[in-house]
Amino acid sequence: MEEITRKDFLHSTVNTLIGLWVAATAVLSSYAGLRYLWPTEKTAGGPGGNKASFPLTELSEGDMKKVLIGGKPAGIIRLNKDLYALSLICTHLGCIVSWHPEEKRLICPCHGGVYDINGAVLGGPPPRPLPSYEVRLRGDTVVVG
Amino acid sequence: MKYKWFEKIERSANVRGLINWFTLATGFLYGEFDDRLDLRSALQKVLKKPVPKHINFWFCFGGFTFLLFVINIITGILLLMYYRPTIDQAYDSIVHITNNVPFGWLVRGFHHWAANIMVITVLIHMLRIYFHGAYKHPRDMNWVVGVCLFLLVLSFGFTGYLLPWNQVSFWATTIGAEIPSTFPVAGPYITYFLKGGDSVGQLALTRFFAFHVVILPWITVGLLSLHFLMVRRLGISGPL
Repeated sequence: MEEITRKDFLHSTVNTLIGLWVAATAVLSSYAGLRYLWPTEKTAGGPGGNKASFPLTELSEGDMKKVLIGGKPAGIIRLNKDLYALSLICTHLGCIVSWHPEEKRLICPCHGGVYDINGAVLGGPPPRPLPSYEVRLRGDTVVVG
Repeated sequence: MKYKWFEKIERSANVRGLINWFTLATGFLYGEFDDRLDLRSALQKVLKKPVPKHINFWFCFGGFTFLLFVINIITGILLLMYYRPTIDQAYDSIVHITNNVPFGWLVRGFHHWAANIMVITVLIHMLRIYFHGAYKHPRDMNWVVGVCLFLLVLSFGFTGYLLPWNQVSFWATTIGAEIPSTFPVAGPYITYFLKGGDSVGQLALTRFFAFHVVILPWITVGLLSLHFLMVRRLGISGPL
């Protein structure tokens, strides 16, 4: 077996301690750094409530109103006295679709996905229909979610 | 055969296992790089470079300053992720970093204290060079570069002080920008330029921000490279 001198032993001990110290510092500071950068409810604005409500007078016939439900954009459309609530996130690649009242369609500006008033895909690349939310009229207030 | 106590520890399975594990974990990457780039001899040249016998604690302050500079680069980049350089939002974003962002208080604290301590370490470094006569030929050029770096540290402090946009930073900048106005001829123009108008406002904040996070850092990196290259080329000055 190889002889280990006192000097070699001290060298490797000190080197190991330095290595452990560096490793501990690296782990702890990466943890703090990641926590610092990772969005939280306080830093990213938070998801907000899972419900939204507003007076019916804010929404006129044929128009759409945008609200946030769980932090995600949703649109409430008033058409022929009925209310429709849809997620506005295009199921293709996540752009925000816009309401075109004259065609009564939701069209995605990014790649031309077309949805009807119920969220069903009429054309373009979207793989799935837009999810819809429950919406009802309580007195003069529109309640979504 | 009788082992000495330290050999017993070295030979014990736990220590050996730990060392083997560490070697394995680092070896995966290190071995591949070393195989191609001969890192070992390059590292040995740096790590085993002999240091003169007369080196003591007072020779460490340049290194301390550099360490603090690196800390300030890292924490400064982190602060940039949340800071908003407008007069409406600057103060609120600083409060947000300190109170809401996880470890934001720590990042801001490190930036603040490293900046303050840096001024002290750089002064001690300068005094050491002065009293050891290490500024003399052939190191006189490096002294000049060092004085420029010292002024850069102070400029970092001056520009960074405005960024939280609180009362003390606003008035300190007002006063600081007013000082050059006593210079003959060019004075009032320098003040006008620094303030970005007749009083400290959005223009001053944007300018100070640009200086603090882009212009000064890159000038500092350039001068620091020169500073270190000259130290390596000329070596550390001799004993008293």
